[in-house]
Amino acid sequence: MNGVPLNRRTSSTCIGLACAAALLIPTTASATPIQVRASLAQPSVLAGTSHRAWLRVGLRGHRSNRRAPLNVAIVLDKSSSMAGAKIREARRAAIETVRRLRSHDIVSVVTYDSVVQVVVPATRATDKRSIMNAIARVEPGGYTALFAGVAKGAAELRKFRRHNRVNRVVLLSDGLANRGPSSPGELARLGASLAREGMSVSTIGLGLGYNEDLMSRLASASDGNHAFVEEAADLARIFDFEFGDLFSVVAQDVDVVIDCAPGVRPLRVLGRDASIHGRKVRTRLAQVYGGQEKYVLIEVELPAMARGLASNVAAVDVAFLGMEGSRRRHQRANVGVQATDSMAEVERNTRTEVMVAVAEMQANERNKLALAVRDRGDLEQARKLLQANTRKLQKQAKQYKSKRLDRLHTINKDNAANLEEKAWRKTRKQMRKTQYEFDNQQSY
Amino acid sequence: MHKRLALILILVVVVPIGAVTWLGMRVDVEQRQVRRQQQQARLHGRLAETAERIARFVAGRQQQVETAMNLPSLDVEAIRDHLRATPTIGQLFVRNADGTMAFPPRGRQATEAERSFVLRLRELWNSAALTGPPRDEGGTGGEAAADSGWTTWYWQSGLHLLFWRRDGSGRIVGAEIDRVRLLSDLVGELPATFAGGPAERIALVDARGEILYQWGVHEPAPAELPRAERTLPQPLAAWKLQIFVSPAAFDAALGDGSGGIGLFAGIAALAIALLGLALWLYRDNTRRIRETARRVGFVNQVSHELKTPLTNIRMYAELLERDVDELGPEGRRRLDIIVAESQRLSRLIGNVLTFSRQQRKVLKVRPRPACLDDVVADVLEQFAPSLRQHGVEVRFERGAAERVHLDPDAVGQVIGNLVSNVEKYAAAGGQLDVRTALNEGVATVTIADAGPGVPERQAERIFEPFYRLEDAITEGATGTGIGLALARQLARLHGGDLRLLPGGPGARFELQIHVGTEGETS
Repeated sequence: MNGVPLNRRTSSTCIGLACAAALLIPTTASATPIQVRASLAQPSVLAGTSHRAWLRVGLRGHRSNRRAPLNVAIVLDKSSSMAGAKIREARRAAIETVRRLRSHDIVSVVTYDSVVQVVVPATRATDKRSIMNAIARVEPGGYTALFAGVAKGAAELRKFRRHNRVNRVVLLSDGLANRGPSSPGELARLGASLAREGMSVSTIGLGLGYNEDLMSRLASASDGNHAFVEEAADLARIFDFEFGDLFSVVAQDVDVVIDCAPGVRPLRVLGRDASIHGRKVRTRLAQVYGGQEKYVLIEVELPAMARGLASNVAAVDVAFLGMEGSRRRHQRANVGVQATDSMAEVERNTRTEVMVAVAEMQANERNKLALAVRDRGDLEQARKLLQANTRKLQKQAKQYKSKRLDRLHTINKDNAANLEEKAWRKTRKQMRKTQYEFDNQQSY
Repeated sequence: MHKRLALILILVVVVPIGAVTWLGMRVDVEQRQVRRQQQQARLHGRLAETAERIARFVAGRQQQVETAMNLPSLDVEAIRDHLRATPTIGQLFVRNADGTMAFPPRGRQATEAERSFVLRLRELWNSAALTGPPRDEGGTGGEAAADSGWTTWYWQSGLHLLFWRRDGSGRIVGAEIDRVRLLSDLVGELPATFAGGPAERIALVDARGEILYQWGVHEPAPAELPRAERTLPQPLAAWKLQIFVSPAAFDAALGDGSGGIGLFAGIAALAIALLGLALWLYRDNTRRIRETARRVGFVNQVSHELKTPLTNIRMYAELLERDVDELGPEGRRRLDIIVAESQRLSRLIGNVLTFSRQQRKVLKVRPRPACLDDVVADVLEQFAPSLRQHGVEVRFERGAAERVHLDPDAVGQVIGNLVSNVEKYAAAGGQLDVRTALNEGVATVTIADAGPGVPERQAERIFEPFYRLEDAITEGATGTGIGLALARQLARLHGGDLRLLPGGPGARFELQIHVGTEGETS
C-alpha cells in the first residue's frame, strides 16, 4: 500500500518529492523491520468541495526470528494488600519470566511498599537461580510508594541502557499510590519523561483496588502496555503476553512525522499523544513489535479540488532504531488524493482497514465519554451512550466484516450492562483497559 | 551503746554507697548526655551528607541546563530537537530584551506542551519570582548585566523549578526542570532500602509535609517526630530531609545497658564489702563488750565476796586496837598496819563496787543529814597512821560544822580517794592542807598537797577512768586508775563538781557539792 495515486500531468515540487519517495519505498520495504502504510480512508473524493478526511499511518513490524535483547526492571508492589494469593502469584509470574530470559538479557527486580528495595540490582540473567531465590523471598507489608518504585526501576534500567535493548519497566500494582507523587497526572509526566530516554513502562493492575487512570496514563505516556488482571491466577499468563511482546520488538524510539501538504490542515490525532504545530504532526512510539501493526489516525481537512486533479496530502517520515546498530533509519511514504465526480468511484476506492480504524477510534472516544459521564454519576446517560455505541459497532462490524469491531461491540454491550455501583469498579477498569488496548493497538 | 554502734555502722555502710551511687549515676547521666549529643550530631551528619548529595545532583542538572542554553542556534527546531534529546529538561524559553518571546513560538506554531508552559510562565511573570526579567521592561535592555539564578514558583500541582540566565544583550534564556522528572532522578540517586540496614528512616518531604521519597527499614509510628531535620539548599529549599530512628536503636546507640550494669555491679560489690566489714566490726565489738561485762561482773563478784571477810577483819582489828593496850609499841604498830591496810583494801573494794554500779548506771547518792567536817575528819583519821608513817603533816581547817544534807559515804569516798592519792603520789611534799567551807548551800572541800602536781595539759585527762600519769610521779606507785573518775562522778551526782585548781606547786583539788541545810530540806 505504499503506492500513491499520482497525476503526472500536475507539476509541482511536491510531486517531485513524492516521486522520489514512491520510488524508494518498494526497494527498502522488504529489507527493513518496519513497513509503513499510509492512506486516506477515501483516496478518491468528490471534487469542488473541501473535505474532512481520515489519514491512517500504519507501522507493521516485520516478524523476525531474532529475539530482541531485553533490559527489563520488574517492579512489584508488595504493600500489605498484596498478602496471600496475590504476592504468591506475583512471585510465580516473575520467576517464570526470569526462567524465560536469556543470558544476554538484563534483569532487575525492585519491590516497593512504604520504601523501595532493589531485590535484584540490574544484572545479566546468567545466574537465574539466585535471581529466582531473591524473588521467592519477597514478603508483603506497608504502604504503596508506587512513584518511587517506578523511579528506582528506571534507575536500574539506566545502568545498562542501550539503544539496541528493549528498556522496559514492568510494573505490577494492586493498590492506590499513597507515598510520594500519586496523581495520574504526575505519573503520566514521569512516564513521558522516561519515554524520552527510550524507556517505557508497562502497567499491570491486579484486583479491583488499583487506580486505573493512573496506571493507564503511566503506560500511555511512555507507550508501554496496560493490563487489568482481576484474578491473581491470571498473572503468569499476562506476564507471558507482556514478555512475548518484548521479545518480538523489531524497532524502537519510533518518531513519526507527518508533514501535510500546503492547503491540508491536520485537525486532531485520535488515540495517541501527538503534537500538531502548523502542518506538522509528530508522534512517537516506543516500540514496534514483530507481526503486529500500530497505527496513527489523523483527521485532516482537505481543500476543495477540481475534478480529475490528483494531489499530495502528506509526506510521512518514520525514523526509528533497529535492534542492531545505533544509526537511526528512516522509512518514508506519501499520501495522495484524487478528485472525482463519481460517488461510485469514491465508494469503490474506500479503504476498509482505515474505515475500521476510524470506527474503532470513534467507538473508543464514545466509550471514554460514557466513562466520564458515568464518573459524574449519570448512569442512565452513560448507558444510552454505550448502547448507541453497541448498535453502531454491530452495524460496522457487519459492514467491514471486522472481528475487532465485533469484539469491541461485545465489550461495549457488556459495559452497558454493568454500570451499577456494585459492578462499576470492575467495569471501569475493563473500560480503561479496552480503551488503552484500542488506542495503542495492544496485542493483549 | 549497741544501738549507737549499729547506727554508726549503718551510716558507715550507707553513706559511701549512697555517695558512690550518686556519683556513678551522675557520671552515667553525663555520659548518656554526651552520647546523645554525639548520636544527634551523627544524625545531623547523615542528613548533611544526603543534602550534599542532592546539592551535587542539582549542580549536575544546572550544568545540563547551561549546556542547553549554550546551543549555537536558538531557533525553534534546534531547541525542540535538543529538548527531545535531553529528557531531564522540561521546557525552555527565550525572551528577548524587548519582552517578546523568541521561544516558544506564538499561537499555532507552538505545541500544546509549549502553550501550557507559556501559561505557567505567565504566573511566574505575575508573581515576580524571577528577579531579573521584569527589570528590562524599562527599555534599557542593552545595558542589563549578565545574570543567572534559580527561581521556584508554585503552579497547580506543586513546585516548579526554573534556571534562567540573562546575557549582556538583556535576552533571558530559562529552562524549566520538571518536578516529577527531578524527583524521579533523585529517587534513582538516593539509596534504596536494604533489609539489613540500620533501624533508621530518612524521608524527603515537601513544603506540605508530604513524603516524596523515603528509605531505611525503620517504620516510624504515626505520631513519631523526626530526630533531626534539615532544609535542602536552594533551589529546593521548600523541601527538607527528616531522619527517624527507632527508640530502641537510639537507646542502644547510647549504650545504657552495659554502663549501668557495670556501675550497679560495682556499687553492689562495694556494698557487700562494706556490709561485711561493718558486720565483722559489730560482732567483734559486741563480743568484746560482752567479755568486758563478764570481767567486770567477775571482779564485782569477787569484790563482793571479799567485802564481808574484810569488813570482819577490819572490825576485829579495830576492836582489838581499842581493847588491847598491853601489846606494847611494837604490837600496836603492827595492829595499826593491819587496820590501815584493811581500810585501804576496803576503799579499793568500795571503789570497784562503785565503778561497777556506775558502769551498770545504778550509781546513786543518798543524801541524809550529816556534818561535812565530821565526814572529812573521819577520813583523815583513817589515813592518820599511814600519813604519819609517810611523814605527812596534816592540817585541817574546819569550816562546815553545820549539819547539812549530803551522802556521807559518797563524800567520804571522794575525800578518801583524794587523800589516798596524796599518800601515794605526794607524800614527798610532807604536807596536806584540808579546808572545808559552807556557803549558801554549797559545801566546798579543798585538798592541797605539796607534791609534784599535775601538768596543766593533763589537768582534765586525770579524771578519765583508767588514766594514769605516765611519768615519775606514778612510778612505783600502785593504783587502779579509777579513783578520780569515780570521785568526780560522785561529786556531779551530788550536784557539784570536782576540779583540779590551777597553779600552785602541788596539786590542789576542790570538791564542791550542793547541799541543803537540815532546815531547808526537812
